[in-house]
Amino acid sequence: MYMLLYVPVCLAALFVYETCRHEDLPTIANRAVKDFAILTGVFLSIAGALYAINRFF
Amino acid sequence: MPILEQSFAVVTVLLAGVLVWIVQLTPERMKQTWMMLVAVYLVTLALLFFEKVLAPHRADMLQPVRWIIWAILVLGCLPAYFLLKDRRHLVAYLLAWVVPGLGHLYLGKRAKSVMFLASIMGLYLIGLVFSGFRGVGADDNPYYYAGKFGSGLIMVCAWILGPDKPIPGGGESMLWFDPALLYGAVAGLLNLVAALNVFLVELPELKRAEPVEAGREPMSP
Repeated sequence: MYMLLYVPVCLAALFVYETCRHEDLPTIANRAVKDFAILTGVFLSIAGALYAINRFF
Repeated sequence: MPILEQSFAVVTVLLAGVLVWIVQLTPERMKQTWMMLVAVYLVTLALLFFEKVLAPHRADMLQPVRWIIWAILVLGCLPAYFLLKDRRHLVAYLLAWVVPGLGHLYLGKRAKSVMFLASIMGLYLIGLVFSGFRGVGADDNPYYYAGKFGSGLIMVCAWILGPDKPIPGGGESMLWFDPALLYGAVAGLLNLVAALNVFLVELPELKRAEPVEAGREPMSP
């Protein structure tokens, strides 16, 4: 349920964000996908840390 | 529910201003955008005050007032007309509000136009498909309802779909239904960001006719 919300909405928002900042299509697509990967990585890291704290401490 | 509708429309416009501020504005452009938004907000508040306090029992007057408020929200960029150096930005803003990406296409930014249209209308259409082509009423979820004011095209779609309550039919999955309704709201808000982005597009100078010096004879053929 949360992934259904997160993936399309976050991707669309990042595409709009990068389109506001850049001119050409390859740059926009590359940066949007990279932003999405970084953001997802950050969220997963936080989730993993919280899980570990709850599980082991 | 006019007051609720209008309040959320104002919040929508202000939220767009905040998002544009995040998407890097130069101080001068930021000032122009905020002046525009404040002007819209003040006029809307005045009309709401008229509707709620001065004429609360005049139901016949409510509908025209409502239309005036919508007209002001749509034409809220008029103060920008006096602030902007280039009036083409104003036309582009209106076009971008009507259809995502159309304003950028008008200014010659074809790649941006394609990306805005694909990302915003793609999200909206996916939401429509998975929600079974149902609109959201202000009574059901005002937060989702507010999103439709972000684009003229989305408003027209919502008008065609009607004010039905978003009750899932037989074919839609409950898992997809609520996120799908949210996609429409997000698409509308993102289009406001995209529409305000036209003010950041640098335009080439317009060619002006050179003034004829006084006393100089025009060249004979």
